[in-house]
Amino acid sequence: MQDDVFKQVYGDSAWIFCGEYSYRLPFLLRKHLEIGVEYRFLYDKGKLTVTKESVDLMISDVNLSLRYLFDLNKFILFLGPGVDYLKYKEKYPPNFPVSSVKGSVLGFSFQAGCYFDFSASLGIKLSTQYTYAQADEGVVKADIGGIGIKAGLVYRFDF
Amino acid sequence: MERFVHSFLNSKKPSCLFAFIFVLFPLFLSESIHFTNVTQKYNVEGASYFGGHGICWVDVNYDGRLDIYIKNHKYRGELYVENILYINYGDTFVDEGLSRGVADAYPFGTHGAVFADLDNDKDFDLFSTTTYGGISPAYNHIYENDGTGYFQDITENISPSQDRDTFSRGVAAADFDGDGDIDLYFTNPLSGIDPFNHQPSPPQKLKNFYINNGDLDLYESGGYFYQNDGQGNFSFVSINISALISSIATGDPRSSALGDFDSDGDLDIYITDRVKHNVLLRNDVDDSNWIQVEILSDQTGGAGGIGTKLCLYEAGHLGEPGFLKGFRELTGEYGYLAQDMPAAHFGVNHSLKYDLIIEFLNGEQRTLSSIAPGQKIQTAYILPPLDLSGERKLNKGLLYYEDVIQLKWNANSGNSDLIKYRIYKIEPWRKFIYIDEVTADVFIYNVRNTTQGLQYTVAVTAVNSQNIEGAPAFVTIE
Repeated sequence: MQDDVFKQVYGDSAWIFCGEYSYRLPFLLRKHLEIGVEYRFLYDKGKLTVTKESVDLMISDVNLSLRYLFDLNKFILFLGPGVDYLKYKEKYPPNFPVSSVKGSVLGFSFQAGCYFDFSASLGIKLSTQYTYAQADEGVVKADIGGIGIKAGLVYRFDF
Repeated sequence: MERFVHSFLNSKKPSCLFAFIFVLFPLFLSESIHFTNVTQKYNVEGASYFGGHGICWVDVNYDGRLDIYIKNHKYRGELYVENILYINYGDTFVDEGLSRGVADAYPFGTHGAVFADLDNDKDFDLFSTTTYGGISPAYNHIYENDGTGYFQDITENISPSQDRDTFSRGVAAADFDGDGDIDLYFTNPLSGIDPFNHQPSPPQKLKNFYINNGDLDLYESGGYFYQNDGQGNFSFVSINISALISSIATGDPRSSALGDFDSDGDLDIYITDRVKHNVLLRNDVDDSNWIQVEILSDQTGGAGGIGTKLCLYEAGHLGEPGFLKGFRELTGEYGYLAQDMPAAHFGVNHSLKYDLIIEFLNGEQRTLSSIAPGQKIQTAYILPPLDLSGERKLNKGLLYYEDVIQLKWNANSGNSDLIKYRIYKIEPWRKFIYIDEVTADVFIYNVRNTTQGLQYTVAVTAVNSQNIEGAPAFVTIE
């Protein structure tokens, strides 16, 4: 997260848990195109900036992306754009004027990374992603996207 | 002089008694005394039908300016004469007695009044005496100040009709039984037989006539001014110097009260007159030969500090009798039907500094050192916290910002045995709205959910283990 207020409330970074299904398109650009559907979930605890009371933040993000692949034998590099649908909810302590704020927003993202295969069906994925998504809550506009660094296991199968 | 006073006290002629009411005038006469009649300028002439009797200086609405409450008695055949509460707006006074609930229009009018914190809620309530006219209702009244300078008659709530005194004249407020709250003493001209066959016995016609080396000077209500030579010898001050011609020209002066209504450090005089317009005399002494001391809250937590004794010494000689420069006891009445401003005024030498001992009714003392003249000292049994400040801040979550005011203060080393601090929001006319309290080891508090662009005034008070609440510290946040 790059938002200054996010850093004040929740710190410089947060863990995001992801699951993705991707499909290499067999019929275009000699199998160099891949689409992916990813679900991401962020849950973090923070503290209000003045009173230091606890607040909770939940963001769930459904990302649809299109990636171009560069096959370098041992590595497959990729990059490409995506669209995101984010739902968010922040819960506040009892003395706060509101109990929670929730909403949803569309975002845009761009990602780049690489696959490294151990075998025909198993590998790892390393990538970085920038997401632009701004939650508009009246006078408060919060950037709930940002730069993410991801690492994950990949299992390939044919059907 | 004491013989002179004594002879008047024992006089059988009330009309003469009324004409000679003395007011001690604590000034350090580095320059000649001079008064200007500003009655018309400030619009404080009193009732059109005259009849002025009692007079009180008191700041009923806590705006820092002394207001005037005037009791009127029947005159020129008027019945249901109303009393007057002149609210001080700086450049003029406005009669708001009716809207503020103390016009008190009863048959044949009223006589005396005293303002004191009767319920220990940090404002001045009113006890009002009513003149007997043979027409009901004619009895004394208690009015509760709601903290905003508006009053409600609560006589019915606290005084069963069979126990209610029918009418009185003078009234004094003090803690007579030493139990820590304010009691009332009021005179009843009836002895239970026939009001018209008994000579009324007016109370406290003279100021407490103590003479010490605090150089208390003397003003004769509706009369002349006498200067104290510091040894208790008084000399007449010529009218050519004092300009007190307006005082001499009064018709039937009843009472006079001292108050610094223009906050310039000298004592001004308001005189009620039964047969002419009342008179406001502005004191034009222009120097810094004065110290005023106001007790914001006393050992009960109440305002005014009635019964508190103050001894002023030359700096560095605290408690040494030879260096005593003034002694005052704050009281709820001053002379016949009058109440001066509820603060002690010392006349001093501006080139010196002074130490002050404040002794509260429960015997506890506070000491203030190296006081420079030319200032008004506000103090209390439990002192207010120091360095109270307020800063607007945004209490941010990611998706919602709360406007808060962060208060910070420091402990006052003059206090002990504190257990907590209380935080109040102050609404217009000094109405205290309780917000919260924190333990005595906490010196920061966030006033929640405030509004940007709105001015806030906040107060913090200290509370001791007996649950006595001290004087407030105030801060205004723009």
